[in-house]
Amino acid sequence: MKKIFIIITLSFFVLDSFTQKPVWKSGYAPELVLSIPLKKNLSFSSKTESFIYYFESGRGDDGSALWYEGTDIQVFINGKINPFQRWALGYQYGIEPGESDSHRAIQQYSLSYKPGLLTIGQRFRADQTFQENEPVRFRIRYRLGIELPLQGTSLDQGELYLTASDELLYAIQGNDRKTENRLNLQLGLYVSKSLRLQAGGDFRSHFTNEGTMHEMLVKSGIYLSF
Amino acid sequence: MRSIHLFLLFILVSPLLSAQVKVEREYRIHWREVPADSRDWMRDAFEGIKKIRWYRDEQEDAFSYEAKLKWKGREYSVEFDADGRILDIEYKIDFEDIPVSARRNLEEYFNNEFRNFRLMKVQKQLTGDPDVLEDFMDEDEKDGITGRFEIEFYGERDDEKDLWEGLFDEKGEILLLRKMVLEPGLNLEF
Repeated sequence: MKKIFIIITLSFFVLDSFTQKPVWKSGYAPELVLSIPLKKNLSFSSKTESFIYYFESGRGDDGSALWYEGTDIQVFINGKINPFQRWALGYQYGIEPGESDSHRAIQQYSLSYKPGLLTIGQRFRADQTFQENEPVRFRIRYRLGIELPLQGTSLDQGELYLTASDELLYAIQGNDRKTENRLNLQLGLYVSKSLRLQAGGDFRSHFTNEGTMHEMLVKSGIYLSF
Repeated sequence: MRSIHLFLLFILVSPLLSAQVKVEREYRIHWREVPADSRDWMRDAFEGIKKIRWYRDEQEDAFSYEAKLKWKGREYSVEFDADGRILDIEYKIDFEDIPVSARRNLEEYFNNEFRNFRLMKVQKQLTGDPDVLEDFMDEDEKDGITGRFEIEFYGERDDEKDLWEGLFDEKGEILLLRKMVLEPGLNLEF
């Protein structure tokens, strides 16, 4: 499974080298995630993420500025199947300047296990996005992530950790097809059982019929669990 | 820009907030921070060992030292108290390495207590006088050694589906059972 994943990811970059000059964008995407237990094996969570960009090149009007591209607000109901498996059903409300607001239904199944030092998480997700005057966009996504404690064999309060993930996305919208890869690396601080802080980077590559776009996002996150 | 400043401020202040709460934690330390008695014991028991990773394990009102190493193909974990006196030795084994009679008792326990189970990790735990433990390590001398089995497993019973850690005596009788928590960070899910 991992080999297939690596081959697919690498093939994106190889294909990219044969296509036209890609668009590059850089920005900042802060996020706030919170989780509240509802009852045994059931919880509510939400994630709010904004996108602020400061650089773009490859579209003819290269340069730096500071512009806001929107905010996504997600809410989820999460269920625990057993210590290793979880499901989630969610809704996203998307705000984008100059565009009509979008609505997204999300279905998620995730697996996690801890073979020794690493915690490994796999996430399978499907979503459907609805926006005025646009065909429905269907996506399937797979993400493989790891978390590594940096100050011992387990992650304890006040300690740093490293988290990395790679996600593959495939989207269909009308006649358009799009693949995307998201590589993420962040340094985290496990402040307490209810608070984690993270900062790092997200490298996103979009491959569409029209060409390729790479995004380099500086990420920061606050994760609250009650 | 303001949110960036707030986040950076949060990162700077948060360790101070966490320092006010007494926490349990385990972290890597340099061998120089380990009591000489512990280091000497390790040198005598694991003669010729070159690489030992040392950790300090802090609980609510006490602390201990832990040495982790690979020795003759096995993964060992040796725990010492704050004064450097050995507490126990643990090493990974296969379930099949457990003597047949104890294994039968363990299987009976799992089958009776859990409708479904899967073993994750089996460890042999040895306790005893420091000299006796040292003799066991370098001369395989078993007299005076108390052996136990520490088993991590996934088990389903009633409406519980959890990870458990069980401590069993040498005959395979349960001594202690506790739930383990595997809570993946929200970062791995969202």
